[in-house]
Amino acid sequence: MPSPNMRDESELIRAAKQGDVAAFNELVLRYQQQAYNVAYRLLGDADWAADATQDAFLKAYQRLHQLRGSTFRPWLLRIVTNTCYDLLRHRARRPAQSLEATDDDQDPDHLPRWQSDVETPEEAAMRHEIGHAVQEGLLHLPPEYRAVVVLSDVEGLSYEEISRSLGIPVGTVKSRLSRGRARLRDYLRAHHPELLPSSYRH
Amino acid sequence: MGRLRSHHVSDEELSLLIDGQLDAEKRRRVEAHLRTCAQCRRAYEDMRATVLLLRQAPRAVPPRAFTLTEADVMRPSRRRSRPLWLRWATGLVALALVLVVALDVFIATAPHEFGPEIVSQAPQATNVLSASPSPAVRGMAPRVAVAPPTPQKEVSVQEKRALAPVVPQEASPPSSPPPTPRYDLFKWLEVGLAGMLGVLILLHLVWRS
Ligand SMILES: [Zn+2]
Repeated sequence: MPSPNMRDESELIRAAKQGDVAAFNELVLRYQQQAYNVAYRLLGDADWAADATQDAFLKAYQRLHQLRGSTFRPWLLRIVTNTCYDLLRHRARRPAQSLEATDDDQDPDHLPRWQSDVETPEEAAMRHEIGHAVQEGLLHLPPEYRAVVVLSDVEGLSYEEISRSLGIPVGTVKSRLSRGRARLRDYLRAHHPELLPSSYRH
Repeated sequence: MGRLRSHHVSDEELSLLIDGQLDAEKRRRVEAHLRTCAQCRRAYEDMRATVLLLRQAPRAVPPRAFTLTEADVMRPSRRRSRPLWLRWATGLVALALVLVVALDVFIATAPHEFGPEIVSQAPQATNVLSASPSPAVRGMAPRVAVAPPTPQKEVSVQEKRALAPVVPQEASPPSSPPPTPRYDLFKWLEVGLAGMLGVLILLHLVWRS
């Protein structure tokens, strides 16, 4: 919804760099949906994703002076993915600290609320089933592959933008993407064959 | 994996084909192979279906707005304002302490490098001397044995050996000297620097909280 006083991105960045928190918050509102979804797909936990997203926006504000030339989105997504990597490493170091321990009954699987377009309840149920299966498969990938697959196939970024978001060459993007997709395919074949075409051919 | 035979299509080629990123010639070759090989065709179709599932996956809705408040923005900048001089001072004092201790230990454990005056002034060496004079003597003997500027190089081994026991008798001072100002200087420097370091570390802790 374009409003008359909607400012252009570089103008917002310039203002935010000079300490204009309101201008920065306008950028937050533009990108928080995407940042949060990336964090959720990387972490697989709604609460962790919220913490990571908040942390990433705070870091982004503090490091705004480092943003030169490059556009805001890949720069922000790089901070988001690095924040998630840190969380994953931290969690891997302390596997005993299970998430289930801090669970409340209202949100047993740490699932987020899903964006719902206009769709029938059946369609919505189907989409959630797909979303759940896909998330399981993503969490079985090594984090480096997971990040490339999420940015490419969930968020629809180009190879070049993924390369800038993750700080890796385009060639590495291509190879990680192909390996990630292949592993995810093999995971779905093993655990959710009903979702793939090859299952109902033979 | 059974699809590693060279004529089959690699996962990377399948992935690039899905994204329309294969150049024309490669694409023709891959598509020709897919028409004839059921195994690769299944691999391709399942990978394409996987990508479509990812695109259809529902999007997670943020549970709240992640906008920053003035307080969020102020907190870290106050933490960052831990003064630069404190970090510099801590580093310098720590470095000075290390250097002083190192010099002290070096002088105490290597007396022969400094000749008899310093040996007698270093406290540890003094104790050793008064208890048993032999270690200090052994340290000095070879140096003195070589040092005399004898023009003839034909000095026999026996002569050298004969010379050695004579020299220490001249060199070893019979009286144990009293503690000297140099020893006090090291002691007070070490204690003083350690105290300063303690105070600076305390300041760091105060600033963090
Ligand atoms: Zn084949």
